[in-house]
Amino acid sequence: MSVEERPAKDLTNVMVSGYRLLLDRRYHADDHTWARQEGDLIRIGLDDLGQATTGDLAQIALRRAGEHVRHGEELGTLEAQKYVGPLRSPVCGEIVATNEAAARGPRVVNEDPYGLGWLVLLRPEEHDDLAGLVGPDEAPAWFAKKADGFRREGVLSE
Amino acid sequence: MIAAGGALAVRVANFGDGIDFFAPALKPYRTTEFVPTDPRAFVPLSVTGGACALQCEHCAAKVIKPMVSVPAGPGLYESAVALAAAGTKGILVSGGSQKDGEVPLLRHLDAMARIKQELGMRVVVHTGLVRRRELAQGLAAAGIDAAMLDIIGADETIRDVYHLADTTVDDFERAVALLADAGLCIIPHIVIGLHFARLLGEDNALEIISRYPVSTLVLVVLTPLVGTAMAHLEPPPVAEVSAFFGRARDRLPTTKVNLGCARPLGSMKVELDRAAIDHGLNGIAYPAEGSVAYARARGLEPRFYDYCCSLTWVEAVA
Repeated sequence: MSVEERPAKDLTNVMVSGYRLLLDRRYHADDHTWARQEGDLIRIGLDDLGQATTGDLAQIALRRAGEHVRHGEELGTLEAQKYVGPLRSPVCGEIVATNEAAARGPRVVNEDPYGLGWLVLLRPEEHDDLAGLVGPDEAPAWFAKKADGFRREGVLSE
Repeated sequence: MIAAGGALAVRVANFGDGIDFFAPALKPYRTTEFVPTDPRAFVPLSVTGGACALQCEHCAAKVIKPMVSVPAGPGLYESAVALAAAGTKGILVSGGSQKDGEVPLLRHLDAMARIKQELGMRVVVHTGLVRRRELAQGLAAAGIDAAMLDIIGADETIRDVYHLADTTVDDFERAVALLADAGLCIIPHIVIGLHFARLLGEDNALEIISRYPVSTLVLVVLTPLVGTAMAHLEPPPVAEVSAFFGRARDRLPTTKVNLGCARPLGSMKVELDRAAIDHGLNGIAYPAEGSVAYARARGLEPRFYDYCCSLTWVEAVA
């Protein structure tokens, strides 16, 4: 295979401690939500460690489009094998859309947390809202540390 | 069988109008109706880590994986010391089974006695199928608060789901008898739909349990788990499970009967919780959103506990 024929290596898609991490977005350090800027909007979902530690999702109830949320407020609730509780917003803004397919079939969040399993599309109210989240430079080390911690606690199997 | 309304009346007549809701630290849990105030109050530990020799069709050791593993070196006592320092007041000592269905607990009896005497913690033990009188008596001598085990009422289920060779329903009854003879507080569990999502030995299990002085019966419902041989199955129908709730209440009118944490999630959980309330069960672990309001609407007074529904006879984990 020539150099030209080799597929380009996707440097934004990495495996860290056995879990997938995308470096084209930013992460909430504790809640394991991701947020990705898409033009004027921000798309939000659970990261791979978030879905793994939540376990098989059975039910997702999300707030309606048009509602406003602040940092840390509930975007909705999750019910899963290993977690029952709120899904907190990593940013502040107005909900523009929710992933109805994920609400109907929550399994997609476990299977494709960064893609088809997104949860909420939001119009941010502060332009620097993403700055407080974990960025691509720090994300791999943060992710590895969190994975190790979850393994020590028994939340993730070895 | 008494109808749902009658079952609720029986339950109120025998136990009053209080209904108990439980949320131990098996998983993070919070709803608009129930926010545990002390989520570390009661913690499950596995003495075998994630290992289990039986690899039952419905579980394949998935249930013990989220538990805190007891390290081989420091052992159960040191684990309990660390948990107590973090505020934990009670533990469930569980683990995978040996080939004969018993959880390997004999080597942990001294630790359990020390945990009771020196740390003053509540200790509930999941024993598996107790085969030896020595184990039952050892648990009693250690001063544990309660022993819990699944009771299976069909030989086919013991063979095909649990993979237990040369074992019958009589062995499960003998296990209850050994625990009763030792004077232990017994918390039997019945897994409704255990035979590949079909009800088979549940009523027989209920009959066995009715012959012994049990403290609380815990009913759980088969939940097809990803990664197990039953992953592709639908849970048993709500109507059949609900009817069994009624038969359990009918058969054990003065024994507490709780709906345990293992049950299907989502909309089925909502339906099961309502059926449990309608059929006069005494408590529910990890109630679905809306269940507390439903109980109030049926005239019941909710009480909330941050510990396991097997500790139902304890008014407070002091």
